[in-house]
Amino acid sequence: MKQQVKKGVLEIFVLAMLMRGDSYGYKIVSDLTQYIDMTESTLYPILRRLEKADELSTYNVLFQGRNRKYYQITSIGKKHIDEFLEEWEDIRKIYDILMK
Amino acid sequence: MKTWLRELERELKRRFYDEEVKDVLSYYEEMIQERLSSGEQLDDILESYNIRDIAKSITPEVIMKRTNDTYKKAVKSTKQLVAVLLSTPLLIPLGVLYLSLLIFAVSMMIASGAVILSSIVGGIAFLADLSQSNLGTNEVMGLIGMLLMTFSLMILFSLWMFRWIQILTKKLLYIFSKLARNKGEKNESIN
Repeated sequence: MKQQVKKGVLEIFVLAMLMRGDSYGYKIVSDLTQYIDMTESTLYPILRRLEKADELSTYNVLFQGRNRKYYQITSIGKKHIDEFLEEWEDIRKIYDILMK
Repeated sequence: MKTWLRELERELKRRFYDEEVKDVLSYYEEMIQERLSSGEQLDDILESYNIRDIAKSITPEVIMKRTNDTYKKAVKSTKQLVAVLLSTPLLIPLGVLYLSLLIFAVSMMIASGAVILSSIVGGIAFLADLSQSNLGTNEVMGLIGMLLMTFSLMILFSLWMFRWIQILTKKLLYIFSKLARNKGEKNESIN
């Protein structure tokens, strides 16, 4: 089933992926494409935005003679997920009340 | 790969500043390397990317991140945003709205300049008229005082309006970049 994704949900997906552990760009895209249509071009601005908001931190690891940039979720990023899930829960509760 | 990266660099340099270009290039270089390591063919990888689309898709985000604190930077960002909005079918309505608001803002700037100019011309004409009148010194001084007060108020009002339009233009740039970015993201879908 195809469904339009609202603004901000992709950020949550990326953050959720990083809750599993630190990861790098290609792996994040590869993991997420199992669930959503996402390209490297879509991921780039999301990563930069999260980085700018201090929800992610980065570090480089030398891999096969080149740098691989790893992304790590910060406490601000974790808080972002919690807030999003709380809001989601509130939406669900309101929906249930309306449907009674 | 080097040729492709050089092409990407050339396209990005037309739109972005060096630091922004460097960041995007390193991101795509890493992506290509990773895909090669996972066994994909270079030709297939490069075929999956469209340089112009890459540059277009990141333009709103890059513009939003910029400070746009100088006239030159703001003009450059505005031009880039208009180009992206009007060249992407999905964003054309947004582009038309943005362009209309820009035209309004520029018209208001011209109007505030016209107010200053007309105040100067009107003041000179008033002084010329005053010099030929038969009024006494006290009355002339009083009228000149009133003229200067009115002139100062007009200048202050015009400068204030000019400043607010500048702020408005900057805000519009940010808001429309954000709208363009969000509209782009909404195209992604859940499987």
